[in-house]
Amino acid sequence: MSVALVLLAAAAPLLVALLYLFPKLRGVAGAIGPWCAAPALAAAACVQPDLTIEWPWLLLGLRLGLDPTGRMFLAFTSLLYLAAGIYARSYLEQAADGRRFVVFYLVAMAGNLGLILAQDTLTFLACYATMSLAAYGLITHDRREESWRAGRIYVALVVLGEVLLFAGLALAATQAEGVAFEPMRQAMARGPWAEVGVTLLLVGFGIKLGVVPLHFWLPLAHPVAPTPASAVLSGAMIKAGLLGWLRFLPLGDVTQPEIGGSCVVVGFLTAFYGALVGLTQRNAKTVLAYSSVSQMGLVLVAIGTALGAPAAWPTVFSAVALFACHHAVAKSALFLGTGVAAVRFNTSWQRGLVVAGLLLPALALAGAPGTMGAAAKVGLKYATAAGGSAWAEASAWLLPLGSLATTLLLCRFLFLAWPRMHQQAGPARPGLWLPWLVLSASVSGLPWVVPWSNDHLVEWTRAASQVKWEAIWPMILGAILAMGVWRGRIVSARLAAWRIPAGDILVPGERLAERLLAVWNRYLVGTLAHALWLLRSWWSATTAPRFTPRFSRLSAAVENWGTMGVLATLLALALAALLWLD
Amino acid sequence: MSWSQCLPLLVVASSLLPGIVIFFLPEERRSWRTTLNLSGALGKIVLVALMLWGVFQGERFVVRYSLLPNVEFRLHADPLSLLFVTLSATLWLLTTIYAIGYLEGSPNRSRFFGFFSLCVAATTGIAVAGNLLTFLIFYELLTLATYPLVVHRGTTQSLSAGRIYLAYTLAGSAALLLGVVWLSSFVGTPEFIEGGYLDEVDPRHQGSLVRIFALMILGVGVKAAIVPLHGWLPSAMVAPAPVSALLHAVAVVKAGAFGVVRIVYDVFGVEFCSTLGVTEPLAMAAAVTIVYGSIRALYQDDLKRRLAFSTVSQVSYIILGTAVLGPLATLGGIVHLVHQGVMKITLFFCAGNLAEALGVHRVSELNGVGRRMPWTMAAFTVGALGMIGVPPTAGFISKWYLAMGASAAEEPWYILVLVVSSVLNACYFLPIVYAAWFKQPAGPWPVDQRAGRLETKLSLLVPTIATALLVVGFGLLASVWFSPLGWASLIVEREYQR
Repeated sequence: MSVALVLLAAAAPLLVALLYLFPKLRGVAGAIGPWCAAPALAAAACVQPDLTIEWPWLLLGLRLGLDPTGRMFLAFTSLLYLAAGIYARSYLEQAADGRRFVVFYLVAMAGNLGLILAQDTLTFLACYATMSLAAYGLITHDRREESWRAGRIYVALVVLGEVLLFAGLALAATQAEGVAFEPMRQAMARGPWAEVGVTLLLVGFGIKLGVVPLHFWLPLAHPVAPTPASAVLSGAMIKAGLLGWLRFLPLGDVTQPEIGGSCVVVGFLTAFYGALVGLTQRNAKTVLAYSSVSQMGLVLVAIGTALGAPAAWPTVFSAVALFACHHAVAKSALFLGTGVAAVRFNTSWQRGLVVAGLLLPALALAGAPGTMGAAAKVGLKYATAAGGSAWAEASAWLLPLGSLATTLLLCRFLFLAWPRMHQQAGPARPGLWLPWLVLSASVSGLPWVVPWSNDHLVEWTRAASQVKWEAIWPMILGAILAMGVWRGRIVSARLAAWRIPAGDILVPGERLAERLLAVWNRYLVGTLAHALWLLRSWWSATTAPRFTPRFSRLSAAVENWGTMGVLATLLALALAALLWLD
Repeated sequence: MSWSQCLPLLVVASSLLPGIVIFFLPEERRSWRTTLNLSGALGKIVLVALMLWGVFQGERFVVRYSLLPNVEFRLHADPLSLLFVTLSATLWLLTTIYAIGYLEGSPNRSRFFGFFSLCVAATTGIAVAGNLLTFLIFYELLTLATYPLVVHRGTTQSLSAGRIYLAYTLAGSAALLLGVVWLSSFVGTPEFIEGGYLDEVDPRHQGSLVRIFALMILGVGVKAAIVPLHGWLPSAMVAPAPVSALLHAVAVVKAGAFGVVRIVYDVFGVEFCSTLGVTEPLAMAAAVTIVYGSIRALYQDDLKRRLAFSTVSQVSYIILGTAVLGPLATLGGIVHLVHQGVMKITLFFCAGNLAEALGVHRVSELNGVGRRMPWTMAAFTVGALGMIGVPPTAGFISKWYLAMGASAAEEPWYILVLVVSSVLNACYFLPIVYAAWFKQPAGPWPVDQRAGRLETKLSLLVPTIATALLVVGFGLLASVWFSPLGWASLIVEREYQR
């Protein structure tokens, strides 16, 4: 029963996507398409997390299964895909090319759910690649100039990420007995290139998470993708990178203080850089993308702590898993909310409800008491403190600053996405607001519904319901600052008008790359081609005439195919005769 | 000589005899020719299957005949021969079906199919050759039989391509001949044996052996298109699509790469090679070829030319795997012999379909072609993803083992070569996939031939889709014993047993 459910969870989206190949079945596929994530949600809820299905004849020994980590990721991922899928049906109702969107959505979902259920390296990589490539179709769905650009940058980074992962994992695989996760993780800790391998994996999966300086695909891709796609992109897909770290990094087994320290530094850098650049954005979805970059920086800080101090790993693991779950739900609720906030409101009561629904996940992201975000923040604090090094002290005052930055960024978002009366848009359809409302409500309700099996999680959830000054001062300060800016009191008009283009470092980067390419083409390739041309003309002017007559006589002889045929046939017959004589 | 013992001979004959008969068939006897072609191809597959079963059971098929005292004509079937024979027999069947559809109505078909069969007979001979002399005979036969196919169209361009082909391959053959004769002066021409047969040679001759190795690798390196011996391959792309498939996947390039594998493993022995210090330069040459071919491919607008440079690059994966010491690298190299074959033939079939149905030859003309020819472009996409090495395709499996091999041999910089090559592969294949599926067509196609409701003729479509399925199948079913990977592990086991 559980086996069937897990298999159905992995296969359902792919099977429904295949139905689209047959024109007659497209109606059926369209009807069940949005519900394809339901088996996965059911599996996350019902199946005991100690299940492994092995098919040794597939790939290099395929293993699917559910473990506690996978169960958690499966739960929030399938919830997101379910909500965004139902949302997408209403969102793209009038669009002529909705079918294309659904197919890419289903394939991406299949990859995403598959990589969570995967229990061996190759299955994980195959699903990861499927998800990443299918997401290209989601990002470029609108086929505008910006979508193509975002798609191009996205694919370039996907390819880069894939080859880095390939290199890192292949370095370790030699040391491992088989391709299951546990031996791979142990192999990552051993061997002469263990540190190189770990770094490659950190960067390879870090691209997906949007770690600075390889974060620039996020702020380009999110605003151009249709809203439900942005929601799963930011909610579920970037968490696949995190899951990759959890599956393959030798966390808790090995001490790598240099790498761990660099992770902490880069993580904080990502957290603040993302928030600051995000503050200058004009598009609500771009702001949310920068917020994702910023939040994932905090995850990297926690991972870096564990790399430096293996003893901290159990705490860090719980914190990271909870944080991923919280961020997935809250961020996708905000993304879906941008779509809901843009509809036409008939009454201010309706509008008030939408405002409340936007505020709730925003508060959760800032870490307001009573939300899952607060529990995640508490967890993060414990996790960084468990490192017990110089980093722990630094984190103690950097984390509240991070909360402050997040609060400011979310205020910026609310300012941009604020629902207004009398908009020129269609009315709100239940297909849009219902799934969104469910997600928004889970931000606050979920921690108390889920039966946490982990002591840390129980404790942090309890701590989250209490209002503590040290947890809320950054929020209050942030809100006051934002009010001040809005009233035009604090920053000058010039500073307020300051704007960094989405993709920030990409803009000079692209220019530099173009210039380098031009240099390469003109000076290297061009010069070489010219040199070859000179050589060839010298040859044909001086040396070639001496050979040409002889060669052309030879080639005239062989060009006569009859000669060749007779020769070849004679050779063959002679051999046959020799053998027959034997 | 029992009946089952002469199976290697029958396998060669199964394409040689139809080839000879076809030469004498009048042009208009189409059904006769088709029947002969297909029965030859199918018969060959049956014979190969029989041999596969026998070899898997541990049997060894040997056919021998003394030409002169101490000089033997010898055919035998070991696991390595069978890997190559199975590949070329399977792809030959598909290519024959494709060629029948592709050349329908064009002149000189008897000549074409005659040489086509001869070419495959020579390739089979190369695969089952039991010693260097036999190998050499079939290798020369292959050169001669391929030339008329390259110049088949008879245009100035194809004649010039043929001339370049001959200049390169005849020079290569001469080098190989010299190497073989020189080596025979030391040890005669004994049977190929796993681990090589040169251990007994007096250490004083090591200098000569290095030179012999260089000569022989130069000889087979021409066909394997190692830079700078690759010049003939891109110019030979003027030949019709089935010939390109034959050159790139079934016969010629493969024969070169197979030759490298045979020489390194079964003449010199890989461990002896590394004592001689020749593996390092060979690996370097392969690495340079891999990167150089990919970079050149980036700059080609002609689709088939781009594919040709891609072959230059990809075939050297096999040579890299051969040159890096250790079972994992060997496994990656040998399995890529098959994987590269099915991936590249898929891509060439697609290029042929595009040329035949739409008259499209250039990458810049491919905008929106996915909507017009979805099956062809789906197959192309699979092949391209395989070339890049996206899991779970066959290309990923090869790269995975090659990279593990490089790491196991403590030479991880070869992983860097693979990484660079994968990125470059993505750079020249993904824009094609993107243009085909996501861009709007610029205008009407140069020609537009539909076959009823299908996007093109069934005989062109079926082989294309079949090979694309193999690309995915070889990756997905890599762990099954009869998969290329399974069979390659059998070869590696025997090579490293000694």
